[in-house]
Parts: sequence; C-alpha cells; structure tokens
Amino acid sequence: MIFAASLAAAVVIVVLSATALALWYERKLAARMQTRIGPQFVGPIGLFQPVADLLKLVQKEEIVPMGADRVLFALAPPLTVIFALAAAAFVPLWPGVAVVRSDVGVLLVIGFGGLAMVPVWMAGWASFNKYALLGAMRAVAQSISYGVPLVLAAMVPVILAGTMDLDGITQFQATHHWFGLWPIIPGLPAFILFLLAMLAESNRIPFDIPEAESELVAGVTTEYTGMQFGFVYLAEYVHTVVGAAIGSVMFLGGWDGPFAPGLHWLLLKTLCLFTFIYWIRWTLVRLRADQLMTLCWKWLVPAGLGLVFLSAAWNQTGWSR
Amino acid sequence: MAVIEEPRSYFHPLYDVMLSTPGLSVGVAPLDRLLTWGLKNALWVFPMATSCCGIELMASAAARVDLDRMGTIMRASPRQSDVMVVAGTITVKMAPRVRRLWDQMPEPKWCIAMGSCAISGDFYRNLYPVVPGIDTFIPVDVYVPGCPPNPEALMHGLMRLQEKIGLQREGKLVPSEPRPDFDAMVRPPALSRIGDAARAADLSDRQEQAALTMCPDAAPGVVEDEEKGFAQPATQATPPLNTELVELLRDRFGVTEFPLNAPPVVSADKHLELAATLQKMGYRQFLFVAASHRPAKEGSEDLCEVAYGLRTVGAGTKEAIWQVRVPTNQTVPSLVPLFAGADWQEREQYDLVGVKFAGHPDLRRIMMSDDWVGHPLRRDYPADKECAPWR
Amino acid sequence: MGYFVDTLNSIGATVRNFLRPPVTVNYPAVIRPRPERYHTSFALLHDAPGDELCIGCLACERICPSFVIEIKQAPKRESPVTGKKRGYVEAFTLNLTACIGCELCVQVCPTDALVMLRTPEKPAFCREDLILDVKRLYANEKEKQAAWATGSRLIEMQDPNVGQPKVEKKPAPVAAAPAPAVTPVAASTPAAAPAPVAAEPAAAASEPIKGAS
Repeated sequence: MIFAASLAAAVVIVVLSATALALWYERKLAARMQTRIGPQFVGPIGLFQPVADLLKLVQKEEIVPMGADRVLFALAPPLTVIFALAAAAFVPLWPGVAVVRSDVGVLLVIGFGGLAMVPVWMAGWASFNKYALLGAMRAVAQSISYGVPLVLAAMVPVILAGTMDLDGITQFQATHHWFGLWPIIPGLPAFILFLLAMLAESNRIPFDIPEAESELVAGVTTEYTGMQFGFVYLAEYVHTVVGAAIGSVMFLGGWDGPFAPGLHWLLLKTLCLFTFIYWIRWTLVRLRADQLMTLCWKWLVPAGLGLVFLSAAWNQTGWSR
Repeated sequence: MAVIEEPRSYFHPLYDVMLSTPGLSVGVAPLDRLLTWGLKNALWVFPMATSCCGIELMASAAARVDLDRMGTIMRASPRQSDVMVVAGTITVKMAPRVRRLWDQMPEPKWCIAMGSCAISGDFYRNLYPVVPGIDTFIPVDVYVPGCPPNPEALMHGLMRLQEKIGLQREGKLVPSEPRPDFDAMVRPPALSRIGDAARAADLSDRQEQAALTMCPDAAPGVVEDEEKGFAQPATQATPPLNTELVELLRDRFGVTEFPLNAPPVVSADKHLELAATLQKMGYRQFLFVAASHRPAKEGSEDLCEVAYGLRTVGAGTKEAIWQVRVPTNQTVPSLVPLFAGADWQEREQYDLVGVKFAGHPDLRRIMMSDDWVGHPLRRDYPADKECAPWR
Repeated sequence: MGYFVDTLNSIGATVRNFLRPPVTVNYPAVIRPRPERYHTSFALLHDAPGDELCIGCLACERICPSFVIEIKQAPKRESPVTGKKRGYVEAFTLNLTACIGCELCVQVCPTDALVMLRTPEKPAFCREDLILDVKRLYANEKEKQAAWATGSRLIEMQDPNVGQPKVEKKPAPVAAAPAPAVTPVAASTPAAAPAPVAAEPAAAASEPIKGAS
C-alpha cells in the first residue's frame, strides 16, 4: 500500500516534470524545424523557460467572466490535469510493476482518455463564451468520433496478446515480438491508426479544430487566465506524454529492450514517439471539420474493423506461438 | 501635456497571504526577485495589428529575429497575454474595440505602441477618423519609433519593457531622459483639440466658415472657367458622350444640358424610371454611386449631388452615368430594388455624405461607428468638432 | 493519394529545415548588417572645420508631409570659423513620433546638414523622449552611424545627366544650393563618408541594451 502510494507520487512528479521538460523540448523542436533557435535567454539553452512561464502564470490575475458558472469554471482546469494524469497509473514501468495493475488496463486507459473530454465540455459550457462553447462542442464531437478507431486500434494488441492487462501485453511482446513491427500487417497499420486517433483525442494539430485560432480565438481556453489556463495547457501536454507512453507500451514493447529491460527503455520510446507526434504537429496544417469526420468514419473506422479481423485471423494461424 | 506615469503594479492575492504569514515574509525579497524574473521572461504578446506595422510584428516572431528566444509567443486570446502590441493606425471606430480588448487582459499587463501611427497617429493625426496616438485611451509603457520599426526594434522595445518591469517591481519611478519642454517646442496640431487651452471659443464657427468658402463657386451644370482651375478644360481627351443615353435622356426625360465634364442631371422623381429603362436596355452592371455635398450659397440651397453609373456587360461595353441633385434634407430613390450591388455603396454614401435613400432596405452606417455624429465628408463638417473623445 | 504524397513531402521539408543551421541572428549580441540606405533617425552635421551646417533655410520644414519639423531661425551672424555672415538655427525640433521616414527633408537640404541615421533611436518610456531637439540632433552626429543619403547625393542621383549614383565622386556639385558662405562639403563630412555595409563599427553595434537576465 505504502509502496503503491509512493510509486503513485513518484509517477505524478515524474510525469509533471517530464511535461515541463516537454514544453521546452517542443518549443526547441518547433524552432529548429522553422530554422529558428527557440528559447535561449533563460538558463542554459533556455531550459528554464517553462519555469518562467509557470511563475508568470501564477502571478496573473484570475478573471471569472460575468455570467459564467463559477463552480464548473473553477473545477474544469484541475480536472483536465487529473484525468490526463490518471491514465499514467496503468503504464507498466518495469516488469510486473505499475501503480495500478488491472486485468482490464487497456479499457481503463481508453476510458480515462475519453473522460478527459468531460472537463473540456465543462470549461466550454461554464465560460459563457460562444467561442469556448463552439470549441468544446467540436472537441467533444471529435473525441467521440475518434474514440471508435482508437478502441479498434487498441483491440489489435489485445487480440494478439490475448490479454487486456497492459503489463501482460508488454510481457507477451518481450517474449514474442513488438506489435508495431511484427506481424507487419495488422501490427504496423494498427500502430499508425492508434497514433492518429490519439492525436485526434488529445486535440493536437492536425486535428486541432477545437482551438482553431483563426475561427475560435483560443477554443475552450478563451476565457481562462493565469494558472487556470496553465492547467489546461499542462493537461494537453500530459495527455500527449501519457499517450506516447501508452502507445509505446502497446506497440513498441514498453520496458522491453536489449541488454537490461526497464524504465529507461520506456522513457526512451516515449521520447521518440513524442518527438514524432510533435514533428507531425509542426508539419501539417489543420484539417477542416468535414475532412476530419470523413477521415474518421470513411477511412479509419473501416480500416480499424479490418485490422481487428486480420489480427483474429493471425491468431488462428498460430504462427506467433 | 507631459505625463509622468505612476508605476502600475499588480500583486496577486497570494502575495498578501505570503506577506502576512510570519514564517514566509522572510523569503519575500528573494521570492520577489524570482517572480519578477518570471514576469520578465514570459511576455506573451497579444498582436493588435491593424496595418503595415503588423507585418513587421509577424516578421519579429519568424526565423530571423526570433522572439521566442526571449520567451515571447503570440496568444490569440487577450485573457492569456501580458503585452498588447498595438501595431498600426487606430481609427475612432477601432479604438473602443482596442480599449475593450485591453480591459479583457488580466493584470499585470503592459502595452507597447509600435510605430508612428500608434504613437501619435502619424501624418493621419489630423484626419477625422484617426486617433492621434493610442495613449489617449490606454496607458502605453514603451514607444517604439519607426515607420514601421523593424523587427529588431520591436525586440529592443520588449527588452526596454523588461527593464521597466524590473524598475516597477522595485517601486522605482521609471527614469526618463532629460526631457525637452514639449509644449514650447513642438508645433501644435494643425487643428487645436477640444479641451486645449489655446483653442478659441469661436474656432469651430470659423472653421465652418472656412470650409464653406473653400467650396467651388460654380453654377450647377456649367463648364467652369479654366482659370479658376476647378474643372478640367473640355478637350478631345474627354471620352465621347454615350449617344444612346443622350437620346434617351433628351427624348423621354426632358434633359437639355449635357456638359462635357459632368454627368447630365436627372430629376429625382424620374431617376428610378431611368434606371429601370436602362436595365431593360442591357445596362445590367451597377458601377458606382458617388455623392458629394454642396453647401448653401446665395441663390442655391444646400445640395447633395448623387452620381450613378451603370454599364452593359460583354464586348463593346457602354457606360451610362447620370446624376441626381436633391436638397440635403430630401431623399433620393434607392436603386437597391433594381441592383443589389447598390446596397453597401449607398450605405457608404449615406454614412459619409448623409444622402438619404428612399426604399433602401437597411440604411445604417457602414464605415463610421454607430454612435458617430454627423457625416464626415460634408463640406460643412467641422473636422474636429464631433469626434469626441479624441478631438 | 495526392494528400498522402503531399503529407510525406511536407514531413520531409520539416526534416530538411531541422538539419539546416538556424538563420536567426542573435539580436542583442549580434546586429544584422543594415543596408547602407536604411534610415530611421536623424542627425544634424558639422562641416570639416567644425561649423554648423544648418543655415535655417526652412526647406525641410516646408516640405515635410507630416509636419514634424519645427525650426526657429537665429539672426544672421558671422561664422566663428569662416568669418562670413550666414544663417543659423536657434531651435530645430524633430518630432520623431510622427515621422514617416520619407527622407524628403534630407533631399531638399541645400547644405547637406540634415541626414538620416542607420542606427535607430532607443524605444522610449514616454513619447516626449522621442522628440529630437537640436542638442540631440548634434549628439546623434557623433554617436550614431549615418545613412548613405545626403541632399547633394540624392540630387546627383536624380539628375539624368549624371546617371546612376557614383559614391566615390569628387565633392558633389551643390549647384542648387543657395548657401553662399558654406563650401561644398558633401564628401568631406565625417558621417556622410561611404561606410562599408557589412562591418558596422563596434561603437554603433554595441547599443545600450542589456540582454535579458
């Protein structure tokens, strides 16, 4: 019990500090992709930029708009962070160890991912602002739509490994093969599908119509100031970091790796996936709302269904046993 | 005139709690330095870009001068930004919006006036729709001179702002260079402002008279004297009259005068009929409606001249241009029922000259703000009387 | 399929950019070379013997489209250098807050007294700091780097007989100058001398800016 609690605290601290680092990392990465330098003046190579941002956000006045639902308005930003962090509890850190080991870990992770839309809707509703409300509606519609291909993509490793336990999936991959690499036909497409759906779930570019600046000022965060905004901002990054971790657990073997398996492999793979996600983010332009829905329902969902059947067929061949 | 600004400083409620907690108050001085450091190095910009300075503002966030190096990013929502960079001319219609966005920004907040237009209105500063400097309605912290200033200059401005934030947090008055006597040295605006001590009480009336005497002094429809210089001499360069239109006007509308340098005058009650006839004849494209104002003189009343232009579509286009003269308080029949394209153009003429169009479905102001008094392109419009609170 | 190829292409583009060195010029430490005709602020010049060049002819005040120049003429007196009687200015105020940088005042200056500067003014905390009086204009001559243009050079450039500007030419013919007492000084003025574009002097480069802590 004490071990689990301290592990949970450690995971929260690690994820939050990793997120702070990710803020800096993303800005540097984006800057280099645009042949800029990025944060430079604070600390060595601008490393303290997230700290400065945090210190500034803490000092800003907190404004509650007239007509806003005060309780929901205040509650929503911390909840986004909590729900985004909750999924991190199920990530197996090294063999047999996660904060919470559950036989239905995959289900819970996806469930918490979907739950993250509730505070977004709360924020949009409570802000008493049409831009926030429109942004929240788009976010919820997008999240519901892309939940379907996300589940279908997550079904592939579940079927291949024969378990919904995340640690079980990782152990299967350690003893057999990484699902992102083999079997190549349901595995790699499912991995790509998972990444796409996860990008859309966390409302990142190219799926960021909920916060399209040209139309919706800043989406759900339009009315949030200071640390309230900081929470929403943080939650987005936590969501991406945790999502990258889950992706590496389900498709890239998590803690598994040559030499000594352990946490470092998980962190490395998460970093690689995170880089890839931000690479995509700073490359592509935003999809239009109808293109977004077309992509989801006409392409990704049928592809996901096909992949589920293919992975079941692969299991029937018995080649991986 | 010279304004020495009090140091504005906002402290979060958290601050008071820390100050009143016995154990914590010791740590306030280093903590204050830390917080100031945070404030200085995460200045998020709200880009209030209205014209060409906005291009330089965009360029300053791009690769060559990378504002992200000093932690500055652009935020689209005023709620999340710390610095409002006003880049460009602010018109009287825009000013309340700028003020509103400024009010929506959370404290502590700062403002940078970028470029001559934002600082002083530039050479538009005596024009009726332009605010002569944004510091007439929001407090400005740093003025970046230039027309426009280049991206480096804006970055220099942000660094000066960092300097100023540091001084403000230390409670020091912001030092200024030894300043010359502004009032004695700088030419007052061509029109003294309302509220200026130097402004004579009867100035507005005199300006009105001056505006009246500036008007061309000609009888309607007559080619004016060449020496007076008001009219173009009727030479071969003038395009030939549209004979079709001339015949139509002479036979059916009783128009007798066809001056070479002005469109023929049609009476207001036959104007709509003429437009309908021309439309049937193939003049299907609405070209323009342009109005001008002639103030009252001896022998003539206060007039509005409204010129209309139509055109045939296709090869060998012909244009039909005519004008309607009405006293200012009477209406001109609107062409919107015939030509939908006349809608906004007539609204513009109503807004700027004050011509009233009968039968227009939506006769509102289109350029000036809704609470604007008067019509600025009238000859008797005193340029600085009605534009409160900036004149 | 087109979308797919385009996506891959654009992903490749970001990678190519990632591998290129950044084009950012590290501003407060390094100042990007300014073109030789880049002009922001103003200065009044002295001629080589040390006499003030401005004769107070009001040409710049009259031509300024933005009405930012205000000159108060001093009564004519003997020049301390040449001993001839000539005009002087008592006050020369240039309101930089409304200047549009059109350089017309430089173009009409008959004695090449007024030039624009490549070094910009420091952003100010109050707008009065951006009003250049005669002291600051003469101080700018010593502190900052002048742009290429002077009145005689611009006239020379516009004269079709002369053709394209030749910077190295002998002292420019100040043909139109109604300035009897002042010798033509265009090329001998220290600040107007053609300066190399790429290498700004260190004094001009190290502006009084402190980098962020």
